Amino acid sequence: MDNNELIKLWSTYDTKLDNVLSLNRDIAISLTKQKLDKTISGLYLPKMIAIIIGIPYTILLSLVTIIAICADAYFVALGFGAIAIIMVTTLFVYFYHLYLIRQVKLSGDIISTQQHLSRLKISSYNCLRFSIFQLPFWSVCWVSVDAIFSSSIIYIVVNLCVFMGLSYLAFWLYKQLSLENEEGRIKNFLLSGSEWEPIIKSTKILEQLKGY
Amino acid sequence: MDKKEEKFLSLIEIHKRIIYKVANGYCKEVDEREDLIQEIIIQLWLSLDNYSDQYKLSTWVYRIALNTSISHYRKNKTRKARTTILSPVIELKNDDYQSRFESEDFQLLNKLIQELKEIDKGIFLLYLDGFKYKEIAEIMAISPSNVSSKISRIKKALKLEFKKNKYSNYG
Repeated sequence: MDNNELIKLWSTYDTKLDNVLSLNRDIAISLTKQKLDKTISGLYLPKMIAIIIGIPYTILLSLVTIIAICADAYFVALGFGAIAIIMVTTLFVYFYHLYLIRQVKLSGDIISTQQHLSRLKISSYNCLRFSIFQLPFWSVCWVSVDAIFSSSIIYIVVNLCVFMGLSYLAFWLYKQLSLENEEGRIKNFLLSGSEWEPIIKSTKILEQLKGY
Repeated sequence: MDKKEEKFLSLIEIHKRIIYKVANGYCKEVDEREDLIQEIIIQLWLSLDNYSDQYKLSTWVYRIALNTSISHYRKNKTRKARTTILSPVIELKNDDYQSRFESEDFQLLNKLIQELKEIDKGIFLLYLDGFKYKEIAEIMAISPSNVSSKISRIKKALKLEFKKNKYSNYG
């Protein structure tokens, strides 16, 4: 099939389509009244809510850290401090997401719009993976310096084992949820198809965009 | 019905072919296609206030339809139940359309278009609809030479598939 035949075939389809397509006007109007499915606004709202809740939470974590330092409770300070640092990083990433969402205009050019959308979805996912590293530090928050000196060696060993175990679990989950790990059972268990599909699709689109 | 709704309906009426063709190119399943058409229409409505005269209306519709289609994914049942109206918003008047009007060549072309990668598909749909390389380059934000090389690669692949298909039919 040469070029002219191809174009002719398509334009024949186009003409025929014009005669057989009909617009359901009532449904078109009722769709415009639907506020539930604003794709872009739908991306914005959860991030804003997370930031609004995340800021006071991070301030609280930081205050606990400062108070713990002042009270010489170094393990408490280490635990809450590390969690606060992870939260601050997450908040910065969320602000970056808000910036990306503002950049997304569906009426804009295809390549940059798709780049922004794909980066946004992948970054949201990676942010979720990164926050897993809070896990081991929750076990550190409850360790007391006094107890280490006054209790038996078992206290140290148990706490150390819990910390190491949770660190390993966090690292293992982080690896399991990696985008490269296509067949990960844990990933499939934690994320159902509909949640996973946009992330996979975003990685494929970004891969395609490299060719342009 | 207010002015915006009137303007919107006439926009959809004029460009329903573009919406349908793009959705058809990106979705094989009828249900999914209808879902995508609804999403394109919602996005057109939401973007209508920001429409700028610098673009031709058809180009603007294409941009939104393509961007929505490329990033479209199957919704889960709960989300679908919340947001989807059951009847199709753009439908074929005649259910026999496909069997009556679509030639074997066209069905093969349609199948091959659906198999293209998302971005390539957008470029090729624009090409088939008569957009010039320069216009496609502007819509996609890539260079015209890049558009030209992509299109010639797609055409080459299509040619090969058509040839293969002819041989398998007669051989």
